[in-house]
Amino acid sequence: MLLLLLQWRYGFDPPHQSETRTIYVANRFPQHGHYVPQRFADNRIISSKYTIWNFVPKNLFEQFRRIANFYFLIIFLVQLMIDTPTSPITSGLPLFFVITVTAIKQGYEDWLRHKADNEVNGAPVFVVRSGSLVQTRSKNIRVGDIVRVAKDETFPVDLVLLSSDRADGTCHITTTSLDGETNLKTHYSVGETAVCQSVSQLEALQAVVECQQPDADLYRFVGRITVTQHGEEIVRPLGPENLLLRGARLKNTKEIFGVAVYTGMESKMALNYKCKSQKRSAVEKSMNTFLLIYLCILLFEAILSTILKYAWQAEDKWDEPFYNQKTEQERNSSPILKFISDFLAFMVLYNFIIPISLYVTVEMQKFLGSFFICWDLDLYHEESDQKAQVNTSDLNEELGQVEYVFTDKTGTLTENEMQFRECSINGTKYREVNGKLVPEGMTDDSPDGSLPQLMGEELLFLKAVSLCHTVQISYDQPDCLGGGGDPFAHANGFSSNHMEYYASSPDEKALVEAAKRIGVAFTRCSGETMEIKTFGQSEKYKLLHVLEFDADRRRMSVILQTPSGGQVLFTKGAESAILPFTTSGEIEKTRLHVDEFALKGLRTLVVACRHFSPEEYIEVDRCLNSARTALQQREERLQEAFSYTERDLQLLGATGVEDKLQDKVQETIEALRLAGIKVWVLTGDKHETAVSVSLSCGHFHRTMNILELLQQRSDNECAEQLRRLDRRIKEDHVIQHGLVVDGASLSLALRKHEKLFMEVCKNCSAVLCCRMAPLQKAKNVCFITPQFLYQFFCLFSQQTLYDSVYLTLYNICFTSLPILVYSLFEQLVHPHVLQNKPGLYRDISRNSLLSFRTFLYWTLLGFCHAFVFFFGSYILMGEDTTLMGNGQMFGNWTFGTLVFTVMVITVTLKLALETHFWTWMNHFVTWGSIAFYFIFSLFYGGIIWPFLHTQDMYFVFVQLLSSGSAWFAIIIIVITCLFPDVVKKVFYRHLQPTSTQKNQMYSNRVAIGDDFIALQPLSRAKSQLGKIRDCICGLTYNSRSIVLTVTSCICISRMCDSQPVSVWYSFLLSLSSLISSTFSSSTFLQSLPAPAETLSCVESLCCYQHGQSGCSRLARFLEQMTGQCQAGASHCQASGRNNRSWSDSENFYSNDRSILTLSPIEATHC
Amino acid sequence: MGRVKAKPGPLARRPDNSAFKQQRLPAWSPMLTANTVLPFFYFMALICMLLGVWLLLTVQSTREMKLDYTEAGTCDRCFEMRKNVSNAGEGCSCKAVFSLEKPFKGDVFFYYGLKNFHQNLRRYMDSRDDGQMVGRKTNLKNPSSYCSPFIRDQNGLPIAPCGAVANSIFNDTFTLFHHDSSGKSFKVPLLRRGITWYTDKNVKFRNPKVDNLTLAQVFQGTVKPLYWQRPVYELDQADPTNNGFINDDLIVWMREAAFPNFKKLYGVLYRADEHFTQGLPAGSYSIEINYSILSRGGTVVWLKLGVTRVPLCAFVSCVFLGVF
Repeated sequence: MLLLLLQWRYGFDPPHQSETRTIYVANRFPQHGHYVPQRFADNRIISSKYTIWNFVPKNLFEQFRRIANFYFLIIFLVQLMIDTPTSPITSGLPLFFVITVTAIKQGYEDWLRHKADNEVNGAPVFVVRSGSLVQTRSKNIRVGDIVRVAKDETFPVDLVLLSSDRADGTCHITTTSLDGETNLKTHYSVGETAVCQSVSQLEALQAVVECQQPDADLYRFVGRITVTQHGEEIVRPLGPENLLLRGARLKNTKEIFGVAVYTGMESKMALNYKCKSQKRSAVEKSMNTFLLIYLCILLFEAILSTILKYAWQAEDKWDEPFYNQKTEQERNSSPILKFISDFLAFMVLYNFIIPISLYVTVEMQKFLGSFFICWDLDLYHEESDQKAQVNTSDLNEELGQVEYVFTDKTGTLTENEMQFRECSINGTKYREVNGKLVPEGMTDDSPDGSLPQLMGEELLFLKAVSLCHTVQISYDQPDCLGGGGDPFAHANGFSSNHMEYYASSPDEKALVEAAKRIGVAFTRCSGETMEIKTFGQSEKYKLLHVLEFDADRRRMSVILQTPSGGQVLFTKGAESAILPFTTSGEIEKTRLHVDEFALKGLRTLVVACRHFSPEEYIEVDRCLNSARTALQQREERLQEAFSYTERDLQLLGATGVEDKLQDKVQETIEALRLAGIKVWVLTGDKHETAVSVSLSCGHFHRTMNILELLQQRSDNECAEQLRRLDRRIKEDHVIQHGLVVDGASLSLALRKHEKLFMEVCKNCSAVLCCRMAPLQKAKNVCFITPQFLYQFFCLFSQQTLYDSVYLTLYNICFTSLPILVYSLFEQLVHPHVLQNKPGLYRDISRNSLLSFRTFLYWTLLGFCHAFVFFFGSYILMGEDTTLMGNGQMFGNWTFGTLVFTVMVITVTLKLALETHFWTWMNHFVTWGSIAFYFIFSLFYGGIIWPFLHTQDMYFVFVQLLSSGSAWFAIIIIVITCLFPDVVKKVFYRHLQPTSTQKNQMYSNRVAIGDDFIALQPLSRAKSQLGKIRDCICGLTYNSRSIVLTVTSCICISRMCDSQPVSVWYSFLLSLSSLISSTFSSSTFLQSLPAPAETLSCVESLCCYQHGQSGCSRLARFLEQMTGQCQAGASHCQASGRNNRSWSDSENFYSNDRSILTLSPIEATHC
Repeated sequence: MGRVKAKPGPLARRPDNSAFKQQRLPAWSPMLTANTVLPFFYFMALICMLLGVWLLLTVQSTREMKLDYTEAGTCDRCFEMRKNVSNAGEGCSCKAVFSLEKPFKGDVFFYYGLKNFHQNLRRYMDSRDDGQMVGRKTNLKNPSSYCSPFIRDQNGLPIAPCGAVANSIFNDTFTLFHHDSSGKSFKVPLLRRGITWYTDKNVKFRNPKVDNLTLAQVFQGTVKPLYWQRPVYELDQADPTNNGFINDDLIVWMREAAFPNFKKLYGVLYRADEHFTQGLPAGSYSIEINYSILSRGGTVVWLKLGVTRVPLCAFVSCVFLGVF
């Protein structure tokens, strides 16, 4: 499904007055009482912008909001109103063309959106209506409907789970498409509704759901359900664990029933899409700047011309020569009016300096370029049969401009496949060897093969590990799930063969699996009982409470009733989150061990327990229950209850889990660094863990000077440290620098010392620039400047040099195609070379090709060309030269045609000079354009056109070509124009080749040279590429699509480059190999149900640590750093909605999540 | 993209592995290095130098002679006279003399030129009706409004040909005499035909359909342009087929010049005449001029005799010799 620029036109803010919505299950409204039905949106998703009826007006309105279009509209109107040198057609037709092309493109994109919408809205769903299951379309679901969803189906609407086919009313879902997490999650239903497993039972159900109004936060849901049973109202709390989100998928569960609460555009998924404003790439922004400059030039030329005209006319004989008398009307019109109309006429005359086709070319190029992205085999992932999706073609060129990559460590750099390695129990370190726990210093051979006798502490520790989690068990036969499977299988210990653990956190899974290997197996979890088997002996625990993990506490707990009847709390979490609350146990030793684990790069968790006395438990129970059912401020009250519960802990031990690095991470990070892309790794691990992982994955180099900004407690301290770092960076120019920052220091640094911090982090101030935009404009400059020059020769009478038709077609036909094809097909460097030499990326990043200097250069070049065209032609046939053998003379129009011909050929050849990659398409359009110009001119000049009052062009072109001298002149002038350019190119190549150029040489040598030599590096590159790609794909596709990721990474990057797509595209190709895990960080995807704002990612990452305020600060900082406040603003909007998603999706409670690793800050740049 | 391909199987959505879609079209990657560019430059330079030499040589044999007759000879009288608008209608002829040091061999072209005459003013250029000139009857009586203010005379009769361009036609006439050493005078025969583009003469400019009428009858109901002395159907009194819109001088004039200083072809030496088969011999010449209204207002007029050869050589050698 294509979601090209998913953009909801009307931001959907439902006008609900009340803060909660009341939903009567199955829409059984109360019979009595004064009930005012609330109005809810229907379940239609509308991502399209237009309908058939409003397409024309709305699209026109949108298009004319663009500066250039509006400008041309004005020019067109001026031409209609006053007597101007060119006919209105000259600006009207191109405008019409541009508008039409854009409208067709947007119409097509919208049609695709309509199609996607229809597909979604028309999907069949089953709804319980009037006592039976009715099949209907998705769009017909109303709030309050009971919906049935079968296994592996996606939820068509946000549902509150009522019941599933399991007795305990739970179900498993995966939210891959929402937040990119692949783990199964368990969702629960309320006990009173869970029994309603059939349609008839549901029919009898009388329940009311009250919940908050829709908001975009995927992980927040507060509500309650009131079930009326036997005339008695039972109130139960509802939370996110009861809510099934639209877009998520049902797994491992045969079917569920749920009641629709949020429909259509009010569903959380839709709300997450909505905050997308139209994104404008930096190219467009710089284009606008350039356009403004040209507008100034235009105004200047027009004013100058007008003034000169009047200066000239001061003399009577020039004002009205006897051969050119004024009409009565002219004599009588007021001088001011004349002055204005003269000025406008000059504006119209020179208006072509603003290239109308610029936007259309850029847009077409992006649009077509996005097709190539989709078609790219390198961006195709075989395992999931997914290819790249382009959600918005507006930001394509930003792909080549990535400067910063923010990556999560877990699951991105590492595989997120955890392996239990070591643990510390009661102050003793253990390793796991062959399914046995071996204390430190002992060999793994126990004296006999029998089961080792575990001591009390060890056993308690293992029990805690195998009980304190939210792991689910799935059996090979899912049908057995509800019923609990074959009891004998459990009894005789074979159950392990059929059993698989599912967990939202891989750490938990690894721990539970490890405990099982060692002998304490978690075997069953049904409803409220958990069963473990300790060396064959089954023990049943009653699950009383789960104190879920959250990012602030960084720990989770369970309260269980032991078989002996006592209540015990097991908790595990980050070291910093638990150790302060422990009162007994080997605290110091354990802390030491945790640090050791961290140094080895292991993820550490600390486990503790608390035994309740009966009184204590009653108090805790009451506290928790009241907090859970609270409708107001539930979260705050829960926090209080949790911290009341989790204290006076007895430390049991700590675990160390290894997270393996992804394949090829090192190469990728190395490549990214060579490409000049700065990688920031953000992780929640301890700083030792982070540094060791960074080192092992190549993020930090052995030779790198690692700077630390850690544990800064006060502003002054932090500032002092920053200054020290700054000095060090400035002193050391050679060594690369890496920076380690921890969360607290980061927030300090950002709060007060943003600038200083920026100094330290930042590389280089970014520069603006473009390639195609100046190229195109320079065309246009040289197009219209002769016109200006010509005014000097015709007393500023506003005579045009070119025929109107040529004026009209210049941008549309004669010069548009080559630039388009160039932009699509150009490859500056062979893709393989790119892949081998990531450093080439530096040549295009920071928009170096779209800098103001480049713009000036092209503009100047345009002017120079214009002078050469004009004066070349002038010298040739100027005053009184006969160019034909029979003595006949040429006139004004021949002169204009000569200049025009020279110009068309020159600009086309100029582009040809810029072209480095000549496919048949390039040949076709380049030579085709010139040929078309000639053929068209012959045709146009060959006919006496009716309806024209002058036949200026009749046979002018033929006559021109019949003169050998004219041919000669054309060739000479074209060569004169291009000669300096060629010389410059050659000189630059020899004197200061950019690395791109060097590599062009290299690639050519490889390509032309000995086949064998050529094949070697390429094949190697290929295999390498293949591997890397697998790595990328594996990561990315399990979430969404690579382009999404790429885009997300990219938008942080500075600038753009209207540099032809193909160029950045070829760099994209290289990128695709560079990227690998870092780049494809699924984190980005997780945080972004909608395509991708990096800032928001960063925000969410930061939020994770310091809540909202911290993130906005980081975002602001990033904006400043990237200098793109505007983009930032839109990102911020979106991120506000998304920010929590990341935090919860990250698997939880590893230890201190407060490290932000900043990678190489290169001294040279600072 | 949103398309669902018909391809079945596990890799249904795999993009086509075609050269086009994968951007692997065979391509030629030229590179501008000194090695590739210099030979080309040398080659071009060589060609240009050869051309330049050839052109220089041909220029040697090109002769040009320019005579400004504005106030030359007895023309100062006419010049003074034309300054006064009141006697614009009176004819005035004068005579100027010049001599050729060397003979003009080959084809000799005879041009008239104007200085500071802006044929390229926008409104001036627009002030014509090609529909009328191509012989459309409706336009003849109903000229295009672009011709303003030269559409109709005071009586409301349409002007043919209308417009400022036609109105300001250059209508000096010249007669050239050669005086040989023995004092004998020969009239230099000038071919006054073939001075226009073929297409102009035969397609772009047509007289209205004549049928059985004379040209004068066809133009009945129109008046001559304000500044003209004779109506359009009597422009060439010697050759009746050269009258009306297809008059060569009119057509030449109607092709507006690009710059304020321009020349237009007046005639070609008729070399069938026995005295002039080789071109113009050296010696003294005189020219009789029927001085017309155009010279008014300080417009400088000159005459030019010349053998045409393109003076490109200077340009070329400039560019290329300069470069290398």
